[in-house]
Amino acid sequence: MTVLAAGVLETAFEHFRRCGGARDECVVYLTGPVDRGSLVDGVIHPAHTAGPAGYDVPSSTLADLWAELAQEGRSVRVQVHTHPGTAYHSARDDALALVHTPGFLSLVIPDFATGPVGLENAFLAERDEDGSWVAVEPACHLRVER
Amino acid sequence: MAVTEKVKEEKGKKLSVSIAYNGLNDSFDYNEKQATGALRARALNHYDIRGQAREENFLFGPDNQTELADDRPIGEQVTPGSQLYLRPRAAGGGSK
Repeated sequence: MTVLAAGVLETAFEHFRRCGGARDECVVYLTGPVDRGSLVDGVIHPAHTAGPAGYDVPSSTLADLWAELAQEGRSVRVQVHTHPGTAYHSARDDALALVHTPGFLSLVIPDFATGPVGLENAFLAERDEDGSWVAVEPACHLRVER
Repeated sequence: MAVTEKVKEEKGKKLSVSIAYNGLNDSFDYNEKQATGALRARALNHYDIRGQAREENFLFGPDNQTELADDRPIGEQVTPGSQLYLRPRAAGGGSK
């Protein structure tokens, strides 16, 4: 079970609403200390380009992110992005994920995150042992601290 | 110490680089004549990257911008003790 510290989800939604403006998708990376595998206590809003149906994070942003994570001893545990309508894991989400290790989580928030802050109608996918993405129940994998 | 002995000692010294992946940063020994692709494969195994993603994560040099060529010897592309990065070229997603 991955634990989202208090404020993490709220911060993510703030980024989605401010950056996406209910018209474009947006992405954040949820991070935690490398030596505390289940904890998420940080939110990174990477430089990216986006439109109503997708987002892209360029190589230069990944370079800065990878260096920062190594320096600070933190890992990205969950990638979170918005969809304009229904939340699901698209072929593009499968193919262009940031992290490719078993257990990595990818959370999709519906309606450009204009709804209540939380996991209602969200879609969660987990990277499995074979390198594929499988749909999992958010409530069974994420605990949100309030 | 005789000069020849010193040269022998340096030749026998293990060469290593650090390779960072998603906040983890471990040391890898290498032989300078070894193809860089072999080092990348060891890093992929070490960090448990499986499936198609093995073809989508690449080694970048100390500037984290220059991608290292798999088919060239490591010794031609890095110096001992370098900080390298294993990462995808880009990331993204979306509803379509």
